Amino acid sequence: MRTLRGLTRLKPDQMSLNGDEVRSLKPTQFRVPLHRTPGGSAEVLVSRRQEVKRGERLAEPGNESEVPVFSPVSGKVSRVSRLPVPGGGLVEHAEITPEAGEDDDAGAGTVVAGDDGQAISRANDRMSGMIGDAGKLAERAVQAGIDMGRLDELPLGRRLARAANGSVEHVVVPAFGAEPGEGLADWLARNRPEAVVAAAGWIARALGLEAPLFVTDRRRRQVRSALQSAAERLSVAVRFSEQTISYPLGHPWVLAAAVTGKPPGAGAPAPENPAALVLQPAEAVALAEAVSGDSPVLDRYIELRTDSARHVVRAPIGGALEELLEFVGESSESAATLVEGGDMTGEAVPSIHYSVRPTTSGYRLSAKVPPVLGPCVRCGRCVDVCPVGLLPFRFVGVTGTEDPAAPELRADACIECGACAAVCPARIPLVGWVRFAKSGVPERDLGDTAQQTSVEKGEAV
Amino acid sequence: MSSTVSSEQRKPTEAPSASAQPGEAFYLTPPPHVRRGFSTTTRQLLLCAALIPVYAAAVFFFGAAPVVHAGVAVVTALVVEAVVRLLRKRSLRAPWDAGSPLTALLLVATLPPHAPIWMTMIGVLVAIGIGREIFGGTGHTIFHPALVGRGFLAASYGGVFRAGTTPATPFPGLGGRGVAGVTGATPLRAMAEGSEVPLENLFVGQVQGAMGETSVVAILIAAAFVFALRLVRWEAFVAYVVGIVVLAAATSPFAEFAATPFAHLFAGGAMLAAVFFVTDSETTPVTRGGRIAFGLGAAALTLLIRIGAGSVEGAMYAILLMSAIGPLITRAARPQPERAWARIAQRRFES
Repeated sequence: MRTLRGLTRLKPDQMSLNGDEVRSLKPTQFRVPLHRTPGGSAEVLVSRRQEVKRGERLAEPGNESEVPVFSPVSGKVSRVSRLPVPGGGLVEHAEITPEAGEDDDAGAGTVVAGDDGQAISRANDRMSGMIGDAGKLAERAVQAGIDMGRLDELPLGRRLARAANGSVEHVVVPAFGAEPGEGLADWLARNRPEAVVAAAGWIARALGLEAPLFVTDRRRRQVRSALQSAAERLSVAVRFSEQTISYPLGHPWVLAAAVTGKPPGAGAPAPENPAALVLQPAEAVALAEAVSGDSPVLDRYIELRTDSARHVVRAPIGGALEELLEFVGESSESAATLVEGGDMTGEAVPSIHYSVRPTTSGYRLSAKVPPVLGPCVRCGRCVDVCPVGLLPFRFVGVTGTEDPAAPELRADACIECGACAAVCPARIPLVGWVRFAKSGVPERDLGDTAQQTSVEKGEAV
Repeated sequence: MSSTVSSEQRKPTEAPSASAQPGEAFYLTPPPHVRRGFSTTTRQLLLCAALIPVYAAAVFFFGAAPVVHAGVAVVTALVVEAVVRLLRKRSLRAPWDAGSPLTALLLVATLPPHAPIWMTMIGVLVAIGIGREIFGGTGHTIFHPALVGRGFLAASYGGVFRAGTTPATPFPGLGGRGVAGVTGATPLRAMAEGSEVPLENLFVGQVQGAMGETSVVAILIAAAFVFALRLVRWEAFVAYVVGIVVLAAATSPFAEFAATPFAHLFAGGAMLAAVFFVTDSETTPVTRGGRIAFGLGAAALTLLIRIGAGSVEGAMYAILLMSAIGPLITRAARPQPERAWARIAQRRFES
C-alpha cells in the first residue's frame, strides 16, 4: 500500500480513554452561541428577561451554513450579547440562568449514555421508511440543530443536502482520533457503536449507497469489533477499511481524497469533494439521538484532556467552561494553555470564561508554556511534512494577500493541519503566518505582529 | 525595549491579562499546540556532540593540540558573539542556540594541528564576526561561517596549510601517537605529485592533514550519529559522496592525479565536508531536489578545483561557491498542491 508522502511521523498516542464512564454536566450558567462563526448570522428569537423552556428555539439560521439553536435548559435569558469565541471574533450569545429545580427533569428528550441500544434500535426500524430521501434526512438534521462536526465544514444537514443533489460514492466515518492524542471518535465508536452505525447507515441508504465505510486504526481492533457487532445487532450493512493512521489522514478533505481517489474541488467554507461525505462519529451520535429521541440536540460529548488525565463528559451546549473543569475535578490553576479541539488544529482559549460550542470536540489543559521562537534555519522539515505540497517556511513575513510574495505561495491550498509548525525546530507558528497570507490584512495594521516578525528575522533581539 | 518572547517574561500567572486571577487566563497562541522533534538549540548541541569521535581521533593522532585549539576556539567564539551582540545593541539574554560553538568546533576541525593558536583565534573571529553575526546570526548566514573562517585563513596564511614537512605541533610535550611512516605531505598533495597513498591509511587517519579531516572512520561514526538522530538531512550527503566517487572515476583517465575514486573521497576535507558542511541547513537549498543538486554541484566543483585548478583542497571552496547559488536553487522550488493531492488520492483503501 502506498503511504501518503511527506506525512509526519506523528502517531496517535494513547488512543483509548481511561475508563468508559461518562458523566453528565449540569451547569448553573449558560452562554449559548447563536451562530457558529463570527462571520455567521442568526435571527435571534429571544430577548433579555424572557423565559425560555428547554428545547425552545433561541435563534433561526441567518444563512445557509447555519442551523437553528435551541435552549439547553429552562430558565430566564439574562442577556443577549456578543462574546468572544476561541480563534478570535465575536459571536452573539444568549446568557441563560436556569430556573430553580431544573435538575429534576435532567435528561428529558435525550438518550442517556449507556442505554441507547433499545432506543436506537427502535429508531433504526422507524427509519426504514426514509430510505432514498436524503433531502428529508438533511432537513431533519438541520432542524435538530446538529453542528457537531468541524468548524471549517458545513453542519451535517447542510452537507447532506448538498450531497443529496450530487453523486456521492462514499459515506466515510473516521472512527479514529483525527489528531494525535485525540480520543473522542475512538471512544464514541466503542461506547456508542449503535448510534454511530445506525446514523451512518441511514445516511448511506438515503444517498442510495449500499453501506457506509468505517475507517479504523489498524492498531485499534476493538473499535472495529464494537462497530461490527453493533452493525450485526441492527442489521445494518457496513464496510471497513483498516489503515495505519498517520496525521492528517483524519482531516476530512484528506480522507475524502484518499477514499475516493479524487482531489477536492473548490468551494467555501471547505473545498467540496462531491464524491464523499465524511461523517464524524460525534455527528452520527447527534443524528441518532435526535431521531430516536425526536428532539433537538442540546448537549454533546466532550473530551477533556490534561497533561495526566482525560475525561469524557456529556456537556450541554453553552455550558460554562469553568464549571466543566470543576465538574471533572481539574484545576486550571497551574495551566499555561487551554485549547479547544485537537492539539494540531484546535484554537487557544484565552480565558476560563468561555463556553461549550456545538462544534467543541473537547478541551486540552496543559501546564506547558508555549515554546520560545527562534529564527528559521531553513532545515526544510516543514516542506517534507506538508501534505499538500507547500513551502511553509516561505510564509514567514508574508503579511497578506497584498504582499508581493503571496500569490506564488498558494496559501489558498493550505488545509491548516499544523504539521509544518509541529515539526519546526525553531518553533515558528507557521499556521499563523499562513493565515496572514490568506488574509487581506495590510502590513501597517499588524502592530505587534510586525514586531514578532522582526524577532523571527533576528532583528529585534 | 526587548520584544523577545521568552518564558521568563511571560509567566502564565502574569499574562496575558494583568487583572486575571491565576488559572483564569492562558497563552493565546496559534495552532498547533504540540511540538515534535529537537529545537534548534538542542540540534546544534547534538551536532557539537557528534564531533566527539572526530576530536577523539584527532587527539589519538595529534595529541592534545586539537583539544587546546577547540577550547580556545569555543571561548573566542562566545566572546566574539557577545561583543558583536553588544555592538549591535542586542541583549545578551536573547535566545541563544549554540550556533557559535558549533561553528568554532567545525572550524578547528579543518585546521592543521601545527597551526599556531593565534591563527585559530583569528579564524574564529572571522568566522563568528564576519561569517555569522554580521549577517544576523543563526538563520541568516549565506555562507557556512566555519568555511568563511577557514577560507580566510587559507587565503591569508596558506603556508600553514601547505606545510608538509612539519608534523611538529605547537605543543611538543603533548604529542599524540603521531603519524608514522608519512613523508609529511598531506595525502592530496602526495597524490597530486603522483604518489599513491594507501586507502587503509586514509580510512583510519594515519596521514597528515587537518585535525578533524584525516580519520574517515571517526567521521563515519559521527555521520551515523547525525543521521540516526535526523539532525541533518541525508540527501546532500549522499549526492556529494556519490558525486565525488562517480566523477573521480569518470575523470581519472584524463587527470594527472594518482588517486582512485575512494582515495579522492577519503583524502582531504571531503568526508568532513560531506557530513557537516554539505548538509548544513542554512547554507544549502531547502527542498530535497535542491539538496541533491547542491551535493552534486559541490562534488563536481571539489574535483574541478583539486584536479584542474591546482589548489590542493577543493571541498571548502566548492561548498562556498555552491552556497552562493543555493538560494537560487531554493527559489526554483514551487508549491505543488495539485501533485500532492494526486498523491493522496492514490492511497489505496481496501474494504
